[in-house]
Amino acid sequence: MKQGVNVAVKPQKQKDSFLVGLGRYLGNFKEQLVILVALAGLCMVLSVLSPNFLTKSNFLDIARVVSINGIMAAGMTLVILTGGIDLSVGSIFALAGVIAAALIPGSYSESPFVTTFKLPVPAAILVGLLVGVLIGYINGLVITRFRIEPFVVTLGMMSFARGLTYLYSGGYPINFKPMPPGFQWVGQGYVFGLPTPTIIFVFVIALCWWILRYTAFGRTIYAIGGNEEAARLSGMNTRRIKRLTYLFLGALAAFSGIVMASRVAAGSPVAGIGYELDVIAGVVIGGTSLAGGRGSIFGTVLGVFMLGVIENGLNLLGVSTYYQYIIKGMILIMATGIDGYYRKKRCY
Amino acid sequence: MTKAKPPQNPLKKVGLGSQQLVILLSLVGLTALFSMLNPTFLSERSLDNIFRVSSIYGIAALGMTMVIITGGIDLSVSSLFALGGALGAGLLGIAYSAANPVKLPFFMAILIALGVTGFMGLINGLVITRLNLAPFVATLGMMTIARGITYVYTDFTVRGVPGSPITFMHPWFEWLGGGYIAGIPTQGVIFIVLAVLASLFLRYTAMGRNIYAVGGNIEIARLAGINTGLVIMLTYVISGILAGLSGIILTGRLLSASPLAANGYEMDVIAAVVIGGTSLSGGRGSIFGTVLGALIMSVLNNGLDMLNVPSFYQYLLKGIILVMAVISDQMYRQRTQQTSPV
Repeated sequence: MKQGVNVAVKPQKQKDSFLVGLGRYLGNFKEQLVILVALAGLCMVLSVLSPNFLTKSNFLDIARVVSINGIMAAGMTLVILTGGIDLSVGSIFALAGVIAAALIPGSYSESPFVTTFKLPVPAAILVGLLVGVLIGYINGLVITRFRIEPFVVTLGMMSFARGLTYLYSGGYPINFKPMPPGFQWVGQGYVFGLPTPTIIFVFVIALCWWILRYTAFGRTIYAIGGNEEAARLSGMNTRRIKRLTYLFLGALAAFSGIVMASRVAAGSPVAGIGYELDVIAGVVIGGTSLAGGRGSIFGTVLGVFMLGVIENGLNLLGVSTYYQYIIKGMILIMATGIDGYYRKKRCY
Repeated sequence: MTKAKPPQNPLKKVGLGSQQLVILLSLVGLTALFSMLNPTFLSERSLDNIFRVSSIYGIAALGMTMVIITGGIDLSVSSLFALGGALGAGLLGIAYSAANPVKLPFFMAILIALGVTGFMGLINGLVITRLNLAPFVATLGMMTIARGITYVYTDFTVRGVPGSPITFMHPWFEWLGGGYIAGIPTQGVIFIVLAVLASLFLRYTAMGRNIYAVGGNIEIARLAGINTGLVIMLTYVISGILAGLSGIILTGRLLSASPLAANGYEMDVIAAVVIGGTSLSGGRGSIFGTVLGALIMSVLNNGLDMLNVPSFYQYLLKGIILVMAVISDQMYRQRTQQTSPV
């Protein structure tokens, strides 16, 4: 039993009994325990320092802010598990947000490309998502077809998609005269007392968890990250699986951008600049190895919450922006450093 | 210990393998294209500018090359750029509207600035090796910290509107950013000297060979008796110092040190290294390739600017050209039956 817990991340072909599955799940959980303790400690310190931290409205606020980063981080986890990386998420985020916003009734902009052609809200969101899917697919296609480092391909795509965003919007934000209530609900509404983005985030997390744990697609992702050559030789279509992860992340980044456009009631061409680092940081803090093959979606949730709580706490305490930079960096290093110090496996 | 494998190609000895040849050809091709479209591209002023800009990128890229060869990455270079520049300018104590009591001579100010950025690099290395942190996270943290320190320091020095730059006049700084040594731009000379030194260091010293060994397979390097932690730390210290030096030269060129300077430069520096054929998975790469990569980046920027390409289209073109450059390199390598990095 103990042995089974230790090899938790290895891909398994056959179905396990419920107890073995639970044990394996707790084994995964154990890896993230340090992060969980660090997060709890941080919350405790903040609740002592600021009476407003432990309020319902503040927690809903954290949940709402974290969700936007978290939706992307969930998809990024899949990409990083294959040993890849995607730097273009921030640009996909902006492009999809701008395109969806431009197609929604009531939007206007100075840009010549933003015409009077409008679509119903769900159709406009779908078009935005398709843009993300297309860009993610191109990323995956170039990476697998030409076998280039994902870092370079997605760095190029980051520049390319940002350029498309600027061209389409002319550099002007897309605003709404009356914002359709349907679209407003996506970023600002509530479901059962929880912010809509949070519900979407929970749904995305559940989906990714299910994919990684119970589908052949998910198990293959771990296999590719562990040893791509071995995975290929045992008959897995590694290229197709890798393409799918980039495509999936593209869709999630687009969706996240659309939620953001709704939340701030504008499609901004400068949205999401530098987000790729925040998203990747969330994934890596959660214990997912950048070398691939090791990590979990649960860790990613903890990672993005860690970043969100740090940001929120520093704002509540009224720390000046400049010192926020310094403190944020130090907490980032310390929180993950504690974990690394006790971990045997080296990651440099 | 003798060299592991004697190079078959004499050109390889100067780092000009077949892979670098492809990059060199694309550099020549780009230059020919731009000079055909705009004859002033090859004018003295234009070349001077290309040389100066590529040196500023390139000096930081030299350190980054060593870090990437060990299999690491340094995202903090952009902030160390800004920090080095701000410290170098601020410590002189001659900034306009300065409230800073410290007044140091030029060389002291620069030495201290480089010392501080080198120290930041050392912290990067310590966190990565001792706390066992992924370089991506450690240097991402340092990127935020150093940027914060730069903001605090410039505000302390200028005491004006928050975020305003340190502006000043200084003959030595002007020489560093806009002067000449024997008719060649100063920073170009510094870049060439440093590139030659780095190349010799990587090729002919035990420590330099160890950098490749660590990147190739860290476990084997450790078992072979190499102090892997020390090697890794050294690369981050070098990267920090060189990033600081780039920042000081940039400050000399602008005669102004902004706390916002070089935001996002880490991607450009990494792109220069990767275009130069250094593998992000470590163990493979050369200084000569990085020099070519830095030249390609600035030829591209300068050429597109001189052709009056709107900045929106420049984003598109730069993305496409970056990927095309690496695709052509990869296809060439596949044809010559070398292993691919992915």
